[in-house]
Amino acid sequence: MDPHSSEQSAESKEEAIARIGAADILIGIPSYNNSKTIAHVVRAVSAGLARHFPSFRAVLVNSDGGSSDGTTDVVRSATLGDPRALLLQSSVNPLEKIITPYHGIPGKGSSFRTIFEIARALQVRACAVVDSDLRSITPEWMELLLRPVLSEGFDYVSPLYMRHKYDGTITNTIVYPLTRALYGKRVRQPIGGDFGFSQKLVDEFLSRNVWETDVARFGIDIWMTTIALATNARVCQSFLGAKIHDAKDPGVHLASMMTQVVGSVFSLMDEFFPYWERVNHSEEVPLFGFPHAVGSEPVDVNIERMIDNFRLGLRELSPLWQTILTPEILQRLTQEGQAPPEKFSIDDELWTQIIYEFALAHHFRVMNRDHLLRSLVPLYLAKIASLVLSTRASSSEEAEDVIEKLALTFQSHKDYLRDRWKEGDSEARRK
Amino acid sequence: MIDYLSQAASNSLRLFGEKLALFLPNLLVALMIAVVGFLVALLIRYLMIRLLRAGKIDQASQRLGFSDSLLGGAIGEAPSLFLSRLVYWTVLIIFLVAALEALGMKATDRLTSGFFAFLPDLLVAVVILFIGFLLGNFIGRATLIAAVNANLRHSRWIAQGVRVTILAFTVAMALEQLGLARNLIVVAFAITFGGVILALALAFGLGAQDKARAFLEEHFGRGETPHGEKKSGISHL
Repeated sequence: MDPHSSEQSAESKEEAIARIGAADILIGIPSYNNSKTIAHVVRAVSAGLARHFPSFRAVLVNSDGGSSDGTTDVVRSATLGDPRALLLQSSVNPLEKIITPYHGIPGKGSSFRTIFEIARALQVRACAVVDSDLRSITPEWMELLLRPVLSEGFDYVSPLYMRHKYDGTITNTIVYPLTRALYGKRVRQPIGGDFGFSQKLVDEFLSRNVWETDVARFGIDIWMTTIALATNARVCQSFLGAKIHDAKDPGVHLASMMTQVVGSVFSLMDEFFPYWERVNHSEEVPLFGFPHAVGSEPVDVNIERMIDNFRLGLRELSPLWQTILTPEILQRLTQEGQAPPEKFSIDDELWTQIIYEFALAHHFRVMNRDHLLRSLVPLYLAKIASLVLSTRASSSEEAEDVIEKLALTFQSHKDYLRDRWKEGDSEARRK
Repeated sequence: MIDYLSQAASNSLRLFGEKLALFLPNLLVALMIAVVGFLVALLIRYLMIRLLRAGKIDQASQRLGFSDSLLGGAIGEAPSLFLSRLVYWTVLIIFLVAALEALGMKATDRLTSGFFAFLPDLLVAVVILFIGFLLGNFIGRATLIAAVNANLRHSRWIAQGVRVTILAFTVAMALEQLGLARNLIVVAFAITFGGVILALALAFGLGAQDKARAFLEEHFGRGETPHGEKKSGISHL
């Protein structure tokens, strides 16, 4: 048995909490059929805790969604290996493991809820969550996610990764610019997936009843970040290097992911309107870690297929879009639909207007929300095609400048969103 | 002869007068019932619109995605207006049938008793049609969006097919409820299902005949590929 870990075998979550009593640090790993990758994540977490927090009482929680590939057995048996090879101290507090199934709607959010509940029960000082399909996690991630909470008094640590310029496109084109314009903080990866947070935020998360919504699924990341921003928690970023994880099939996941992530952003806009209506500018948040260039995995993109999908949407979904978008936007889209692929462009202003109109349509419930969000997919693909075309020859830094320009456009058009939102609300009250 | 004819005429006139005297009050009552029915129907429509709007049924319908089915479909008006109009006509027809009953004629008696026996089934059939229409439009739109997102060329036809199928089943169920076509559902299902299987078989046979031949050759052939080559057992390498 690994001297640095104390295993939990058939004991229940409650029994494990009662046995452990209290802890300083909790690391949560949600999983579902990740037996191929989770051992590396557990080892990196164990090594990180042993190296950077040897005297802290630490607990690793694997909250599993009913894996059938032996994921939990892999977590149970994953060991740190030879401490000398990792240059570790010999006296290290053993790492406790709690391996437990979660309940509720299947999804990452429900899994996190279980992790939060255990964190509250153990009254930990700092908590971090990391994805179970990470291939690029290193022991240093533990320090970068936990130290700002433990030593610097921050409540929320958001990750900052180096990613390929075509990776994380929902983040780049919707979630980051919109979150920045709304809440006034430049958190570059608001749905990064790997976060550190304080006990105060754990209590805040658990005080909200959102576990039957999209937050219980893919919406959890943006929900956590938004709660942190809108409750004035102290937020920072930590540079984690590259993010390499199992690729998801965009054909299978895209529409569901968009619905859940963008739907969560829009729903949070309803809840936090009193906060974001007062925000007019954005500011940087403190950054920890040592930013450096890393090689990122290339991402395949099929521009023709994306433009093709947009044109199909334009032909078939225009009657639907007429109830969401203004005639001017539709006219612009029709023009772009007729343009040859090399001249195809959805500029920042047009894209900002589209997203703001969808947010307004979502708020005023002009149609079923699931239909609304899914009908955004062809427009999103059009924007990605346009972005890829305009950054084909660009370096990562130049591509980042393009995203910065887009974020500024979102900020500069915020007045339009705010005014329309208020007007609509006043009209609804009069009725 | 003249006396006989005049007596017959006066008898006929007397009988007609007597029958008219008996019928006129009934006619008056029938007219009164019709007028009262019209006023009651108007009142109920007004109250229903107020009630449904106070209950924010239009907003709820919008949230569920039904409103645009109504507005974009054949009905073309908000749910509160449509439902109150439906109730208005139902009440008015009931009163008109009652007015016919008041006439006390044998033909209308049969009509009214038949109508009142038929009324519950009719109402249920209307509700089935209404729900089927909404469901057809709702699922049709969801199918259209999903098909576009899957980049399927014939998205509109697929969505239309789903919508028409749901509507066809709804109509069959409504007819079944009215007792007009007891066996229709079974027959319709058999025809539709058989048609779909036939269409799939044809699509596979015609559209993918090379793949079908290769599959059959590989599994049931005599060890030869579709092109007449002997299977080596390592050709996949």
